[in-house]
Amino acid sequence: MSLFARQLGFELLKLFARKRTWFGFGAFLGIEFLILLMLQMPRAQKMFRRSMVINGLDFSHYFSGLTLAYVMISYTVFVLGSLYLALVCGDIVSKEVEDGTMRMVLSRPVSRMRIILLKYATCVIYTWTLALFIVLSSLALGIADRGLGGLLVVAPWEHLFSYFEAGPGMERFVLATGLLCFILLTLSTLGFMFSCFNMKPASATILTLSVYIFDSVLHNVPYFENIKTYFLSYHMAMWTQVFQPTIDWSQIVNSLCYLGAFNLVFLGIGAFHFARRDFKS
Amino acid sequence: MIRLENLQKRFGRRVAVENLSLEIETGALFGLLGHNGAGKSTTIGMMLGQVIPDQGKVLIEGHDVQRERALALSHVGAIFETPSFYGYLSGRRNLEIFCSYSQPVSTREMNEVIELVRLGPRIDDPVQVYSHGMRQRLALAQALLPRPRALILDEPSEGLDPEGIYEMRELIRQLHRDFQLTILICSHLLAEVEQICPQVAIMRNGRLLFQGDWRSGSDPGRTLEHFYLQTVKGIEV
Repeated sequence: MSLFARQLGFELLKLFARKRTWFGFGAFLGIEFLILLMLQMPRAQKMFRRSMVINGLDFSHYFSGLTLAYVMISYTVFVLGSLYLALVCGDIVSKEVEDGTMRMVLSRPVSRMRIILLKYATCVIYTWTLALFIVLSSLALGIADRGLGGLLVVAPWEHLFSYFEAGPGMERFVLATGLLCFILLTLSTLGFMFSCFNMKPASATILTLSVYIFDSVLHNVPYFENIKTYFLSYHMAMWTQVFQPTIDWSQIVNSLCYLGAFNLVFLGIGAFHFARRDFKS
Repeated sequence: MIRLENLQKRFGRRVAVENLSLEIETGALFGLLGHNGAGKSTTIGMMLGQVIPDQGKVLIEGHDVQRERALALSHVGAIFETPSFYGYLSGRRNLEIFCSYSQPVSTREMNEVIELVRLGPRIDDPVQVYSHGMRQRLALAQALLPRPRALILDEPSEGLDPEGIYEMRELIRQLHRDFQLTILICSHLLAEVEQICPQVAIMRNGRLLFQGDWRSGSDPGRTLEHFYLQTVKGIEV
């Protein structure tokens, strides 16, 4: 185990010593700043004020750091998250193959399965780090701007309208963070699977994004309403359900099982292909 | 030490290696020769478990590379034609990373090898500023850690200047002399192999044409180039 930990430490070093690994963190911070800045505009605040007043809520209490954090996360997490997870996880094996360092690694007495496990563990850690960063940076920026206050969540397309006081609101954020960590892993595993195939890193990234975008587009076509539960993006959107006044855990667990099965399949296909392929210059 | 038994590999319709059987004895200095596309790199790939043979097996110290990969490769070091490293990390960090896939290496042992390949003053610089010759020496350093019993060198002198070629040749001789390593050199620089390897194997179109001491025979004055051309094309020079 200590050897595995040491090897994993070096995998993380390889990943985080590269500048492009940090692009995702910088991009999220940038867009969060931008959203926060735009939410200072009277026109943007007017919409919030109207929906709060209609429902008898105090604008100064509910237009808070928690509400702003939710807005920032919900509008960015999948659009930007899919891009950077595809970029990093789609790169993780294919880039080493392209650069030739994978051949150097494979000339060592280490099994291909261990290499796959190390690479995948690195993807998992990157995904969780990014998910935590997205939530914590949104909360920090929101709270710094508007203070703690109450949390108002409005997402008509998810049939969601809820409001919480600060304490319960933070609890919901903790639950949402855990779910996001798991849900975003699906995108990472998809990218990882393509990365194990015999293709360029850019192709793995583009394929990952394509699959996710196709899935999201099809999921939102009204004619496919009856089969929407078969789409990944349907289950990935489940993270918002922890902001329902009463959480439907059975629905969430069902989605997590579905995504978990997809993760296993993606990982299995990637590992199988990696174990059987030839590595030549 | 290294035994290849009936190896066969196809890439699509093309036969890369056909029924190749070869034995390299412990302590040998062995050259693997052949034209471009003869199957040398595929053979080395199969020796290191990077290319999966369609048929046959590679045994290193009695261990099957495909079935007992970790045991088979635990005493083998290898370098490739174009050594690749994590350019944004230092030479030392690269060595640490590659060594982490084998057994732990002490700092003293690592420093000894760094000195042996004469990279001492530059080892903490990022590899992206290294010259080709320095990368080649770093590749040799990673192949020597931890102490292997056999070295597989794929075109070790490729791209080096005359001084670098001379240094590499002397280093290989030193490693063979001081550490009794079994060394397999894959190259198409016949003059280099001639100076280092008494034993050679010659491949053509995936087939083994010759294995043995190229100097033995009726004409003691012939060069390896003469012998190679005679073997491959039947040309008497």
